[in-house]
Amino acid sequence: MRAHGNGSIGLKGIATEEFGMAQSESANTADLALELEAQEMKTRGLWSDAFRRMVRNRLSMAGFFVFLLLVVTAFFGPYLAPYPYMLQNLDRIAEGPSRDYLLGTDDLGRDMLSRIMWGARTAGLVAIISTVFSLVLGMLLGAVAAYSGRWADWLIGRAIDVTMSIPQLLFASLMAATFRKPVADWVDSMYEATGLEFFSTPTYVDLIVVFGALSLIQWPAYARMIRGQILSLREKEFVEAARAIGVSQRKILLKHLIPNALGPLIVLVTFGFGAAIVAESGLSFLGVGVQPPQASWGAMIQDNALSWRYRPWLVAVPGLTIAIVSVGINFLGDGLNDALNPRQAES
Amino acid sequence: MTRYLSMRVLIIIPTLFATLMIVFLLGYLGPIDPVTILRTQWAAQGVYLNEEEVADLRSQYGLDRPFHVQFGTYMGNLLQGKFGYSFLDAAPIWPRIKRALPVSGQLALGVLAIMTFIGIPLGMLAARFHNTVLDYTIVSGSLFFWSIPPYVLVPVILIITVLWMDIMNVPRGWKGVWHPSYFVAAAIISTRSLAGVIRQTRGGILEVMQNDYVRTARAKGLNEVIVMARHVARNALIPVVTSLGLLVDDFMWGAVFLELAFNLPGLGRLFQQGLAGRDFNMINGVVLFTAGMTMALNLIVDLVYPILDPRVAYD
Repeated sequence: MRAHGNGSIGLKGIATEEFGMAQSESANTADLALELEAQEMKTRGLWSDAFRRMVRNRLSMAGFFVFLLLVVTAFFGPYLAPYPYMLQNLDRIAEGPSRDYLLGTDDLGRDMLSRIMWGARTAGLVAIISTVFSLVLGMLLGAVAAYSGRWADWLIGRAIDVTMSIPQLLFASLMAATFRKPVADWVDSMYEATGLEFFSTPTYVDLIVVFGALSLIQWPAYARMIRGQILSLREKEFVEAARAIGVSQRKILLKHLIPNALGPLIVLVTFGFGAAIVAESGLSFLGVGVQPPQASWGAMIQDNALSWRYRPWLVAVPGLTIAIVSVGINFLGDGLNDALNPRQAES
Repeated sequence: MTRYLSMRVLIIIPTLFATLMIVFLLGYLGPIDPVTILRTQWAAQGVYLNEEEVADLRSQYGLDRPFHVQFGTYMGNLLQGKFGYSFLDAAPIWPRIKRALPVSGQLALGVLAIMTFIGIPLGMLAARFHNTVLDYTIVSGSLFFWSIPPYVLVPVILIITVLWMDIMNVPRGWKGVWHPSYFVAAAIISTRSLAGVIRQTRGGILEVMQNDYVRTARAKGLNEVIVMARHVARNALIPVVTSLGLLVDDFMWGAVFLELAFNLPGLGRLFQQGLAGRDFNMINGVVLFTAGMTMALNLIVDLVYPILDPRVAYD
């Protein structure tokens, strides 16, 4: 069930907190921290309020556990997996689920469960890194656009228009197809220069290619949102009030702009994270993402797509994995949206 | 007004130019060119090309020339209405796109119809029964289907309907609008756009319902249906129109995978073929069309908006 009922409490929580902040700014700066703390103790703050709402929302809590499971599997999956992802057992090809192979084996006799767990590393790494990349790029460009005005704003706006006018899947797959060679050359030269083990395998080439392609299609969403948030929050009464009583630019940014922009941003990041996982699988499905024999959920579907009629589980297992992860993360994002942006969700 | 609109139209030209240049540059920088693909294709048939012949082929296609020459030639042809030829089978691109357009167009119309006749009513229902089980079901259900990518949805639907329930065959190929497979295809592609429409309709109606004029309309004893239709829906649906420009992106996302799975001869299939064969002219053609469509739709939205909402005025 979604916890919509207590939206009014949330509204009050935010209102008193904002009011409290504006008040305490006028006080002696030495007492500022103390007083802020006291204010937050008295009224339930935005975050604790959001947390309560979040916990009450069962679907999004389930989504949160899916998200946790993915992150844990992304980091530790390869150590927990029962078999190596490339190990073939040629005696037991294309079997259904059994005691030895909990999710069955594929056409090459590889354990499906292990490949799903290794695929979680691919999906999780791609999602985490490409989200961080595009977030940093988007925040930087969005802030520059909002603060520097005219020319930079116009230029960044056009860049966003161009990027967004090309259908994302088309753009990402084109980029993934293009970047592979230069990245492979670069990784080779890095290996020769440094001798680090990290650069010796082609795995990271695929990953870097997909990170790059996904970051370059995702940054406009973040840039747009940061720019919009800064421009609209700057005009709000409580910021004006803070400015009027002589609060420094830096403090306005840290105490008023960033905390207020954080809620919508967290929601966008969550949805972006889910989108990155789906996009990575999509690129691998089209053959321009992670290359075989590396495990990727999208590639696993594509590899077995032709035999869906005879061995449906080979398609269903990776398919349902993607579906569960994507649905879980999006429900998490949805719950966060209700919890962090109560005004928007209640409107 | 005129000044704004002419600026708005004029900006499309450099944007489209920049878009094409980026896509062309990606092809130019790419490691595999069509000649490489041709070479492997011919090698599979027992015809082996040596380095010299490959170089000849490249210069014949003009692929060995610097970027600005290649791009200039392409743009020159484009301005004369020529989309160039496929690198793989030397067939002209334009007739293929022309054949694919009706298929994609009819699919897109189907998606639009589903959005209008299913999405908007569902969004209105969710708003009307705000915070009830019905509301949660509609919103969560649409989010659920929105989350599942088409390359998962298609095989899962096939396994359920073809293998388990045995109620249909695999819909292969294009059989026109009145064939049941058309509805399956349109429904799968529309899952992504549908969630957006439902959310926006729901949010819009909830917001409009808080207005005083709605209370006034109810207070003077107006029928609830008329309140919803005349006072609420008309105002609430204005923002829904703005997301029309997103339709192309959502559509192509579904179309590429769906047309691959069901072997439909639309733009998504063309793009996928172009990508697999690194057929730059084909890729450029499809991207040009889809990007152009996005910009055109955004322009139309901008044009229509002041008519729908007189408070918005361009000066």
